[in-house]
Amino acid sequence: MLKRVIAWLLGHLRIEVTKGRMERFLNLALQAGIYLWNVERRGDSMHVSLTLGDFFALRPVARGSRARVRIIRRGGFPFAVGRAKRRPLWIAGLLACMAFLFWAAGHIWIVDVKVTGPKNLDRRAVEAVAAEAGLRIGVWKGNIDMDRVEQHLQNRLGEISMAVIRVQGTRAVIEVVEKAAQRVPGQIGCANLVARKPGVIEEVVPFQGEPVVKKGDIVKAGDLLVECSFKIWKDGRPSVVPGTKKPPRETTVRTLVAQAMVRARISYSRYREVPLVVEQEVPTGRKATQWVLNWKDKSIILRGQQGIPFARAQTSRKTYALPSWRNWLPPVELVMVNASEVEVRQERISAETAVEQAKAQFSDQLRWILGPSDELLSPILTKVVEQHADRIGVQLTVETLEEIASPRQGVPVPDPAPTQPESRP
Amino acid sequence: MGRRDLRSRLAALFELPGDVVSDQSRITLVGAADLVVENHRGLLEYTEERVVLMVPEGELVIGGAGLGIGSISPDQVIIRGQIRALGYSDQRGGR
Repeated sequence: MLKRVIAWLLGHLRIEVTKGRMERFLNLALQAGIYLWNVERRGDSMHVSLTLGDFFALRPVARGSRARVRIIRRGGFPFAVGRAKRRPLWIAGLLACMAFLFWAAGHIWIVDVKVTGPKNLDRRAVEAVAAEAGLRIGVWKGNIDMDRVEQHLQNRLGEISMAVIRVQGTRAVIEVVEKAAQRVPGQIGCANLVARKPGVIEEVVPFQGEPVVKKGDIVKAGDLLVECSFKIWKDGRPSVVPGTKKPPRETTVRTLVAQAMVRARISYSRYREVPLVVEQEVPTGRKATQWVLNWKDKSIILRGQQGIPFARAQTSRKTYALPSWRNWLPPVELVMVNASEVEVRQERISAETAVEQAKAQFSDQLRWILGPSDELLSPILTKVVEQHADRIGVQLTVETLEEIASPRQGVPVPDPAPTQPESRP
Repeated sequence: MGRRDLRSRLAALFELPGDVVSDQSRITLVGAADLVVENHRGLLEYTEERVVLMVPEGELVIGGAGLGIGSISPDQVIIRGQIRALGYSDQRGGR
């Protein structure tokens, strides 16, 4: 394939060879290093393809075999250029066509919106907000700042929790995930919401189900937050009397899948010990090299018989082997082991630096714990509770506001029995 | 011990394929339409029914119909067509 591409670039010829000895012609061409292809014998003549450059080396071959050579077809880039020079309008049309293709391929012509979640969000709203940030039909692809569009979508559309934009050719796909898109356990009929973590309830916004906690309640992990029931008042809706509380709804009509946003204040307190003396490996500049020849399962040390002469060193290995061929693997390989001697230096850090290190580690840990809508209510507070000559003990505390509701299967109540019609006498 | 024997023994010792070390041709037949001969020495006869190639083992005779040469270079030749027979002949004229 590559040879054919090169032949097209260099230009190729189809020649007819007549008279003389054909086999001798081919052997002389081989000796001259000429590459021939599509050799076809047609009675007393022969048709052969070769590159334009090789054709000029064919004269001694033809003379040596007493053959006559005639060109019957030309092809490839040099001839195409020659033909094109005679057709300037055709070239202009081709260039214009290529320019149009380049221009058309550089724009966005389709904007698709994919919404994952309850599908309450109107796709046209997403398209309109994306257009505000520069992603619209007909825009030059290079002018779209994906990060800016994604950020704008998240800022403007409060209903979405995530937005991702992918550009596939001339098509841009905006994928958004609606909030409350969390999938509850299948068709179980009853799913409660329970607390994932212990905390103090700050906000309860029920969408479905009966909340059993209110702001200020203290919950621990596993406590019921929202019950999977739809309740009504036993004796109908009570009349509103100013200054009195409504009686609780007690009669369960049916079970459902509870959905709510329950946010709680959560305190984290961690104890961390940080060493005050840090060990660092510093190269001394001394180096040693060992050469090992591996022959099947044997190893022969060619250089560096005494091994690595350093008590502590950083080593690197480099293996030289013959290339494998089909399913054959070379049985011999040469391994070079380079060792650089290092010495360990102990460096003492200040207590403030150690506290900052503990704080940074705790902050990294929090990043994994917190979700996208969770936030820190206070900065990380640090308190040195233990201090020794070689280490320091730091107590770190922080308060967060987190979504703590998690679905858990409940026990569905049986459907209420149908009321029997009164029998008439 | 001849030079050829030494090469064969070395090939066996290093577990190398024979054609890599010793001077032998490699012949690959793909179906009955494509025949690739590597390490050939030249062309002795070429007609649409018969192609004879010089190889280190002797003469390689390819019989068939509509035979053509897909490509030919100093190290490889590709024969195309309906290949029906393939064999070696040690002497010219003794085929």
